[in-house]
Amino acid sequence: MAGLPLPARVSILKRLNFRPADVPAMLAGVIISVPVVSVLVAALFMGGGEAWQHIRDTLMVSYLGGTLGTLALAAFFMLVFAVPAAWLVTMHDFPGRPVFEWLLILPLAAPGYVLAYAWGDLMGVGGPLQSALRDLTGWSARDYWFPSMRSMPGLAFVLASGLYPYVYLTARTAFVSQSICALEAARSLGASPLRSFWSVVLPAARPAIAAGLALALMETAADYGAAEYLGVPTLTFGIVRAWKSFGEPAAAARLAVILLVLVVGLLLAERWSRGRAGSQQSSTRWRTVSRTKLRGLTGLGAALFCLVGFSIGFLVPVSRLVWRALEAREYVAPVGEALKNTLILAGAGAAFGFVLALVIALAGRGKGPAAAFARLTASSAYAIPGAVLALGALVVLGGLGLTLTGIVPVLALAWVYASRFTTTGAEPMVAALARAPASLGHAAESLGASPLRRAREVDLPIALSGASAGALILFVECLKELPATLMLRPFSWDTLAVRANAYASDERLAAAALPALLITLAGLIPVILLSWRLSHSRPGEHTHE
Amino acid sequence: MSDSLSAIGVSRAYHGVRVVDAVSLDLKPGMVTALLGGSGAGKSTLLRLFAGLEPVDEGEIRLGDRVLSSTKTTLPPDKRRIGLIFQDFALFPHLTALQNVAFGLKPLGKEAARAEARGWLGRLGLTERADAYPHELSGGEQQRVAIARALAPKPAAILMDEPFSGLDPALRASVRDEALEAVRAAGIPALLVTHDPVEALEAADHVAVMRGGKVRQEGPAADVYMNPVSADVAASLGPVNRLAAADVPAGLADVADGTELVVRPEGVCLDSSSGVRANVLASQVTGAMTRLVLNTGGQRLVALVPRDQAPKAGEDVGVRLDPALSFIFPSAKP
Amino acid sequence: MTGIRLWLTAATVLLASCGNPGAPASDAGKPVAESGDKPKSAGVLNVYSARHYDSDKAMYKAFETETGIKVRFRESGAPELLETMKAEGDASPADVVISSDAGTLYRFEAAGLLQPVEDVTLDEKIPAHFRQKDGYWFGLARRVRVIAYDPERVTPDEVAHYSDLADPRFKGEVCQRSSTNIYNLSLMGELIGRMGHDAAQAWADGVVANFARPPQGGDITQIESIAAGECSVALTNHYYYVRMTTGAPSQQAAAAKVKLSFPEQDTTGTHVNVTGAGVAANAPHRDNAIKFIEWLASTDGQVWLTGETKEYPMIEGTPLPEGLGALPDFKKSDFPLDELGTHQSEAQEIYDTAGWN
Repeated sequence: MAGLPLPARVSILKRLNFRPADVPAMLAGVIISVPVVSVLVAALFMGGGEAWQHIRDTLMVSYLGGTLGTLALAAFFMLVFAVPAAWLVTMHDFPGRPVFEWLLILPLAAPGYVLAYAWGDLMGVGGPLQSALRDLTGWSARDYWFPSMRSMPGLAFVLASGLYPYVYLTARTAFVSQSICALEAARSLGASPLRSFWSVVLPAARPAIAAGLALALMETAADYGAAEYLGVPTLTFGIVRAWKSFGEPAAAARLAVILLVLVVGLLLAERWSRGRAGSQQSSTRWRTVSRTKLRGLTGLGAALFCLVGFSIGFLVPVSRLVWRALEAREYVAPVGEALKNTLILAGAGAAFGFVLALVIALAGRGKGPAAAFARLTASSAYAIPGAVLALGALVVLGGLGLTLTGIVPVLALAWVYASRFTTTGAEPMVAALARAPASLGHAAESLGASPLRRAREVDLPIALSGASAGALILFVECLKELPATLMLRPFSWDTLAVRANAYASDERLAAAALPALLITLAGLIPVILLSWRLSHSRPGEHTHE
Repeated sequence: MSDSLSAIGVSRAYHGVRVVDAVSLDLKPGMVTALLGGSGAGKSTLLRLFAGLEPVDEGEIRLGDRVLSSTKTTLPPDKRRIGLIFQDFALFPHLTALQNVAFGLKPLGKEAARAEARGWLGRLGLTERADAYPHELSGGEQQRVAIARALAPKPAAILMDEPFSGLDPALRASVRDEALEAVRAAGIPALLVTHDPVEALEAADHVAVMRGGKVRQEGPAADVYMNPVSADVAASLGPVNRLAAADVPAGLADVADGTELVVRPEGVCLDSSSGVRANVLASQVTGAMTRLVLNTGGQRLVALVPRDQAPKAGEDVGVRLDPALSFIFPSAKP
Repeated sequence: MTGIRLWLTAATVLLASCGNPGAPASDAGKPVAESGDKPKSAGVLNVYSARHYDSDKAMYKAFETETGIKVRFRESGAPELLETMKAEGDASPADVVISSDAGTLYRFEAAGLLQPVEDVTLDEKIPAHFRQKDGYWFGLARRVRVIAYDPERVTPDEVAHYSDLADPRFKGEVCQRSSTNIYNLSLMGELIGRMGHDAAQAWADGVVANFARPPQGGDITQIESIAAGECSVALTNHYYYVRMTTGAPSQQAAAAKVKLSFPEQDTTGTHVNVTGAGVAANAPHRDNAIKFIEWLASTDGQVWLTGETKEYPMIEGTPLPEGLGALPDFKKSDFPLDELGTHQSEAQEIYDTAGWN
C-alpha cells in the first residue's frame, strides 16, 4: 500500500518505515525463527562436550556420507521417473491418462517412515517377494542377489518414491504453461517429438523442475523415521540420537548446523530456480494442450510407466500395510489413545500455526519489510528438519529453566510445529488475498473504514476463504511430523506417528500397520484436495470461456 | 451547495519521473469532469492524489477551503469522505449487495444502515438483488451496486477510475447514463477517468485532456472538441488526419510553412464541384457513417461520410474541408 | 468469521484439556499428569516405564483393582525418561522406574535417580545376581540371548558357545543386528567380565570376519535371514523367536526352519538380562512403589509382566507364557547384572574397533 501517511512524529521510526501495524508480523517472524536461531547460538557458544568428540571422530563421516548419498540418489530416482511421467501426462493421450494425472500425486499422502516400514517388510529377506522367489526357484537366499531396502540406496528409493510428486507437479506445470508454443514451433521446423523435448521443452522447464527437486530434497534431508528404520546413518538421525543417547543438545546442535548448511543451499537453489522459472512464464493466458495420441503398444507402455510409479509410491506399500493390519486381526493395536493425543497435539500446532499464518497473510497486504521478513522466515523454516527445530526449542526451554512437564511440552511442540509449518497455512491465504484486487482495500478506505476495520472486515474474510485449505494442510503436516514429536511430546503421550515408530522399531510391523495407515489416510485428505483443484482449474481448459 | 474538489499545482514523481506535473484542476459540484488521456498520461495517479491514496510531492488538494493533501500532511482516504468507483468495481466478494452498500453506512447504526442501503439499491433498480453476492450479479448490476455503495455515505466528491470499461459494449451506454444521472443528482464534484474519447464527450459535462503528466486543455466537452489547443489534444479526442504543410494537396487548404494541418475525418467532405480530386482506396461501413480511405495527390486521407453518400472503392471523388473541423497548428517538429 | 471463531474455540479447548494438570486421574491408564501435585495420599503411584506393551496398561489396572492404589504412568524411550528425570530433579513425580534392560537401570542408578530399598520379600524371591546388591533395582522378568541356527547346515554342538560365532567355520554365515543395540551391548558386558577386554575384542573381530552381510534390522530380521538361507547363525533374544512361532503364518513358517541353541550349557550358562524396576530417588509415594514392585514379583504380577512379552518369569513356579513351554529347560548365567552397565562404554568401543556397525 502506497505510504499510509502518518504525521511525522518520530523521524527515525519513519525513516525505518516503522508502522505499529507491523508489530504482529515482526512478532510472528521472531516466534518462527527463534528455534533455528537458538540452535545456531547453541552450536556456536555451548561446548560440544565429550559426545561431540566421539561423534566427530567416529560417526561424522557416515552421517555426512549417508545424507549426501541419499540426497544424490533420491534426486536421480525422482528425475528419472517424475519428469518423463509429467511429460507423458501433459502432452500425450493414452489409456488411463486422466486418472494417472492425479493418481501420481497420491504418494505425497504417506510420510517417508510409513513407506519405509512397508518396503522394508516387502523386500526383506523374510518378506513375501523373496519368499516367493525362493519357493518358485528352490534357491536359498545366498543363491541370488536381491536389492536391499536396508541400505543407503534403499533409503533413497523409499524417500524418492514418496516425494517424486513434488518434481512431477512442478514439471507438469512447466510443461503445460510454457512450452506448447515453443514446442509447436520446433515441430513445425522439422524436429522430432523427442528432439523437441530435449532441445526446447526440457531446457525451458529446467528451472521449475529444479525448484520442485529442491523442495523434495529438503524433505529428504529432514527425514528421520525412514533412516532410523532402515538403519541408514544420516545427519537428521544423528541429531536425534545425539540428543537421545548422549543427552547432549550442544553436540546435536553442531550436527544440526551442518545439516542447516545443506538445507540453506537447497533453499537458495529453489529460490533462484523459481525466480528464473517465473521470468520465463511467457503468457498469462493458457493455451489448450493438443495431446499426441499414443496408440497400441506405445500407449500401453506409457500407461504402464505411470502405473509403476503410482504402485511404488502408493499402491504397493499401502496394500502391504493393509495386508499386515488384516493379518494381525486377532491382535488389533489399540490406537484410541494415540489418536486422541495426535488430534490434540496436531490441533494445538495447527491452531498456533494458523494464527501466525493469518498474521503473516494480513501483514502481506502492507508489503512492508516486516511482512516480507515474516514471510521469508516462515517459508525458510519449512525447509528446516523438525529435529533441528525441536532441538532449538529444547535449548530455549533449558535457558528458561523449564522442563518438559505439565503444559510446557504441548506448548513447545505447538511452537515447533507452527515454526515449521506456518508457511503451508499462510500460502493459501496469501494467494487468496493476492487474487483479490488492491482496489478492494481502497474501496473500503474510501468508504470511511479505518485500517483496523478494513483488516477485520475486508482482508480477514478474504484471507479466510483460503483458510480451510491452509488449516487442513497445517493439521496434516503436524500429524505426520515424527522427530520433533518424539523429542518434545509430553511423556506417555504417544501420537500415531510415535506409536507406529515404536512398534516398527520393535519389529512389530503388524501392530505398526494400523497407526501408519491412519496417518496415510489423514495425509490423503489434502492430497485429494490438491488433485481436485488440479483437475478443476486445469490450465488449458481456460481458453473456452 | 457542495464544495469544489481542487488540485492546485500538484505534482507526483516516481523514481524522479514526474508522473503528475504541476496540475491544477477544479472539479465543480454537480458536474461530471472527464479526465481523458492515454495510458501513462498520469490520469490514474491524479485520481489517487485526489483520493489520498498517495501523498503529493508538490501543491495541494483541497475540498472547498479545507486542505486534504499538502506536502506536509495527507488526510488518510478513510477520513476524506470521497467516494471511489473502480474499473473492477471492487465489490467485497464475501458480502451481499446490500451489505456492500451498507459497508460505508456504519455510523448510522445497523438497522438504519440497512434501510438506507435498501433505499439506494431501490433507486438503482436493484431491490430484487439485495441478497445476491457479487459473483451472482451481472456486470451491469455489479456496476450499479458499486455506484450505490460509493454514493450511499453521501460523499463530498466521487472519483471514478475507468468505471465502464469492464462492461459489455452493448450495455455500456445505458449503464453509464443511469450511473452518471445518479452521480449528478448527488450534486457533488465527480471525476471520470477514461481513455475513451467517445465516453468523455458523450458522458461528461467538462473534459480535461491529460498528456505527459500535464493537463493540456480543459473546458466544456464541446469546446474542447471543437477548439483544441494542439494537434495532440485534437488527436486524443478522436481520430484525425495530420498533414505537414508541404504534403497538403494544392487547393485543399492554405497552410503556411512550419505548420501542420489537422482534420477530423468528418471534416473531410465529398464535393463533386471541388477541384481537389481523390481516389477511393477503401470504403468501410462502420454504422451510420462510412469510413473512406482516400488517396489525394499521393496523400492518404481518412474521411467519414453518411452511408447514403458513400462512393465505392476505386471511384474518383472531389473533396473539400469543413473549416470548423480543420485546424492549423505549428509543427510539432521543425 | 464463524470459521475463525471455531478455530479459536477449538484451540482453547485443546489447550485447556492439556493444561489441566490438577484434574484427578481417577482411572488407571491415565497418564501421569503433573509434577507439582504430590499428595502423600496412600492411593497413588506414578510409574515411569521404558516398556511399551499394550498389556502393561491392563497390568496397571489389575494392580489398581487389587490394591486400590491408582496408577498413573509415563511411557517413553529409556534415554528420554532418563533425561526427563534429570531435568525434573527433586520435583519429579516418579515413584517407580521400569526398564527392560539391566544396563539401562544401571544408567538411572549412576545418575542418582534411584534409591536403595531393603525389602526382605524381594531379596528372598529374587536371586542376588538378578538385583542390584544395595537394592537400587530388582530384576523381575528374564530374557536370554541365544543363538539361532539353521538345523540343515549347523549341528547343535557347533553353536554350543558364544565363541563359536567367531569360529572360521562360520565364515560368511553370521547375521547380526547393529552393535548399538542394548542387547548386544549387554551381552558384550558379560563377555568382558568373563574373559577380559582382549579376548572380548578378539571375539568381536572374529564375528565381524564371519559376517554374511553388514548388520541390519532387528532380531526377527536375523531369524528370517536364516530361514531364507542368507546365513546360518545369528544372535537373538529368545522371545522374538517365540513371538514368531505364535505370530502371522509367514513368521511361523520362518520360525519352523530355525532352531535355538542355548549357549554355554557346559560352562557358565546362557547370558541373561532382565526387565527390572527400582524406586525413584525422590519418590513421593515410596511405600506404594515398594508395594508395586512386590506385586510384580507375585504370581499375578509375573503373569501380567511376561504374558505378552514372552519373557521368562523371574519367580520360579509362575506359569510360563504361551509358547515358552516348547523351549527346553536350560542353565542360566549367574553373572551379576549390575556389572553389565559398568562395561557399557567399553563394550561399544570394542564393537566400534571391530567395525561392527
